[in-house]
Amino acid sequence: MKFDYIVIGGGLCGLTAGIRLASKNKKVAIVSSGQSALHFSSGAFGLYGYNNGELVETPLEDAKSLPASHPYSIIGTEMQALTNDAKTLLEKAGINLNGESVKNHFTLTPFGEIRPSWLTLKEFPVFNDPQTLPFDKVLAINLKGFLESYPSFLAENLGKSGVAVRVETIDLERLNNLRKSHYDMRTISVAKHIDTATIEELANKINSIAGKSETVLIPAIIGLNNSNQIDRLRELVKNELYCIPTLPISVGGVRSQTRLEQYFESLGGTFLLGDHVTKGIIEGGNVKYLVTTNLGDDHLEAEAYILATGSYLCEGLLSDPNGFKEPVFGLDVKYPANRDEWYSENFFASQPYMSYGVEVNNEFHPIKDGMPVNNLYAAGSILGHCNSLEEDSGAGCAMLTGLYTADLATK
Amino acid sequence: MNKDIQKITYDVIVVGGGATGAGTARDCAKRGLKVLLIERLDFTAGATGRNHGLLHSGARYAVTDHESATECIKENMILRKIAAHCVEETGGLFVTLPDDDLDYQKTFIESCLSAGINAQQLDPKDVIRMEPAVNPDIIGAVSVPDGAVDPFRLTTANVLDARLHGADVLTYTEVIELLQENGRITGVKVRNNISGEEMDIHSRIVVNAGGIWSHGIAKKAGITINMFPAKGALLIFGHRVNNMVINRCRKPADADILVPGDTISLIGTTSSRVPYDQVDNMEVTQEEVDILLNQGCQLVPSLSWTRILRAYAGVRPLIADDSDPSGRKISRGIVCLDHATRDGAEGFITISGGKLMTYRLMAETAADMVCRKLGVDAKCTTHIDPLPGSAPQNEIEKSGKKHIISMSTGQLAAQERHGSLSTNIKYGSELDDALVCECEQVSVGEIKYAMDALHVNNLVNLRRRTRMGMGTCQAGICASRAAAILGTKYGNDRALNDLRSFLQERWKGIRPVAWGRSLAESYFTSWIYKGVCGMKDNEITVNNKDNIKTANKEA
Repeated sequence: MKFDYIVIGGGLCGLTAGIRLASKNKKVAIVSSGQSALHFSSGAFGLYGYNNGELVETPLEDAKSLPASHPYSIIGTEMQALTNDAKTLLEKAGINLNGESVKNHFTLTPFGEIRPSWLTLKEFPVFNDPQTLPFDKVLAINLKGFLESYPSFLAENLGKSGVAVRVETIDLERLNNLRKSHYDMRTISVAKHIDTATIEELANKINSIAGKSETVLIPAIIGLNNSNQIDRLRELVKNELYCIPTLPISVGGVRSQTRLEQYFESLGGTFLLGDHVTKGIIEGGNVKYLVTTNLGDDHLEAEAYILATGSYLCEGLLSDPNGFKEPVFGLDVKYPANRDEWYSENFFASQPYMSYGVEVNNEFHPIKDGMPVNNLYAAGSILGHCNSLEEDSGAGCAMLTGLYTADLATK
Repeated sequence: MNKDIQKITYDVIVVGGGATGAGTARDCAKRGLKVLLIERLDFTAGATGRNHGLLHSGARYAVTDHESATECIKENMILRKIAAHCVEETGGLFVTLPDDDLDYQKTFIESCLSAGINAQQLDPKDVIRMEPAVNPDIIGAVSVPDGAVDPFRLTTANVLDARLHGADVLTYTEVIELLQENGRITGVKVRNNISGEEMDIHSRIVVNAGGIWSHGIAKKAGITINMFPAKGALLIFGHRVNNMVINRCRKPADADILVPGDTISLIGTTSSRVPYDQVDNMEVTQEEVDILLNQGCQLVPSLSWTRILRAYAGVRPLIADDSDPSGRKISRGIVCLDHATRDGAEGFITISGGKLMTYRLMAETAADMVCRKLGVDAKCTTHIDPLPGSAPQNEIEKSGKKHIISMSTGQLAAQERHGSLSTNIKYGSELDDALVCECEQVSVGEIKYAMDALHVNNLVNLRRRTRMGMGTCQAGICASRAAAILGTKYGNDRALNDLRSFLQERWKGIRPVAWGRSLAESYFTSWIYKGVCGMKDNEITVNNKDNIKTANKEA
């Protein structure tokens, strides 16, 4: 099968690149082996949130001081324009967000910790000053028997910031059957069970217990496919209402993934879901074709390829006691020989292994055996020299390198 | 801390919450003595919780140490009866690999038989069918009555029985001084390691069952016990690759025993001498991991592609013999010291040496000495009386429907863990049946039972009592759920701090083997707690210890 461009990996990075290419009227295929890291994200997209543990206020400005090998430094002056394009792309896909790249805002985590964010789904609370929360009286709601939401931790942490939090549990009739299974009271199953009648039931119950000036916080269990149910709930509830992310897999993440896939396909893109690229054949410094599990001898061929297979979570990077490798092409990955140097003793400290990844030149061509592969680009969390968890730069890095490599490929 | 304890003069205070200490407390309590058991951290926090979990047949020692072998096989047969819910009768093999000397097998079988161990030579061809995991190149095999024993359950059962017989039990209570009057030990000064409170507790006898820490405890009375800290490292594999215990039929060496236990398999051990001041900082090194993996793969080739969950190390509480550098030729025989005759300190006993397998015999030996000193004439019955949880299970089955699906998988798993005591766990309500830990099938009800009845102060305690967080996700998914339940009892600030400590504790064991799926899983755990939940390091937050103090007072 021949395409103009093939993107390997269907997460945030691969979809962004695929959408950019498809928007340029190119024939594009994305090969996706299944669930992506986006499914596990909380609904807050980070661009650059922390620098060595310190909060970053102006991500675009501060990114200029990152080391030359960092993906943002390779993108260079086009950063700002690409952040605007990224937001537009998400909005066109039907993902409604707050935020700007010039200045970070803040939002709440499932435990009520305050975290920086670039773009945040509209149902979540956002505020500009990490010292000043946008509410002083909160009603934090959980669902009966739901173990993925932590209003008591939320209350504990918000309490430290001077917010009075009242925790209440609501019992939704629609979930009674679900609760009978010992496994099924999980975010996505709950979200699938919520229909129009349940939204009304939830709204009535919230209205009956919410005090006059209380801001209502509910777990993010609504809106797997779009924001309509959330908008409806907000209309029905008298008080101000926001969602708080649950533990993954998250509704916001699944919705973002779904919207992006649909947008890509609406532009004529081919989404090969459930297939897996087992091998990429390189000859004379160029990728000749790809071998996949489902297509067998029917190889995938294109003018250029974008490798966006992610890192450890999605097996874009593999490791064994001897080191780290990129499994599709066998690209160069740099890491110290001594295993002890791969990790920090402290679980919460910066972990060196998280910044390992493929080496690229200044046009994002990955290096194999010391030489760049000319019609291949690497993008997203497979790139080395970027610790996206430590920097809170995962979404930014995925989208900006996705857009940038798509532009380079079509130049 | 319960101040009323200060008003009591106990017959005996047992120091150390490992199998030996718990067993000694149980034995003394059953003989009618007023007992207090104290442990500076949690039960099984020392060598008891850091070994193979092997129900030794004694065959391992048959050639080198006849006395230990004989003790082992006797205790092996006793534990099958009194601790049925802690024991799995897997059977064991001693296999000879092409590189090994097959002549050793003959000596081995003879030594086993003379120690009363039923060792039978088998045809290697049959063995490959009995235990398909074994290296198919084996040239010899012998069957022995090895099995698996869960040291966490075994210790908990001893504690529960001690309590049933009137013993008081304090965890997180550390001896900081041995009280003395006219050369006699009259009790202990302790510190509560959560609240920091100190108090004196009086007794007629103090039994030092501190494992490798016995050295430090005796030192507080100016008594020297020369311990020999011998570190042993082990690896836990992500699933159960073998059904029988597989030993290598050669002189005891590194990594020659693979034990199946619950959902996993364990390879071990190494043996290296460590300085005494390092016994609280056991880290498994790269070299140890490589030795264990290399040797383990010779025994069972599939280990080379099996995920490794964790690495850990324990310290064997051996009495030092400086003439042997490797630590392997020492008899692990039981040592019961009467410090009255040895050091002129009346009222003080140390019970040490031995091994997990002989914990009951060690307890009996210590309790005998206690009774002699107190002039109490009471016989030991611990070799006959079953431990709590070990009652026959068919009564439970009769009460419900016969068919397996009449119980949830969580219920069945809990029955495996708590034996007949699992009837104390609440089932039937949707809220209690909900699963906290999917890997090990631990329900909300089981967590609540453990918190109420099994001395649970934190998530590590909870893990040891229930297996929560021990499965393939290594607590990535269930830690927060369990922490929230813990918060309802101890407050949310303490629960959040404890969650941080728990994640650190999990990472400590994963780090030496963090590659492949284990690294991906750890990355996911970091993603959840550091990324999605925004958790930060303990040190960045307010003083952790103070928080625990406050929370404890409120609770």
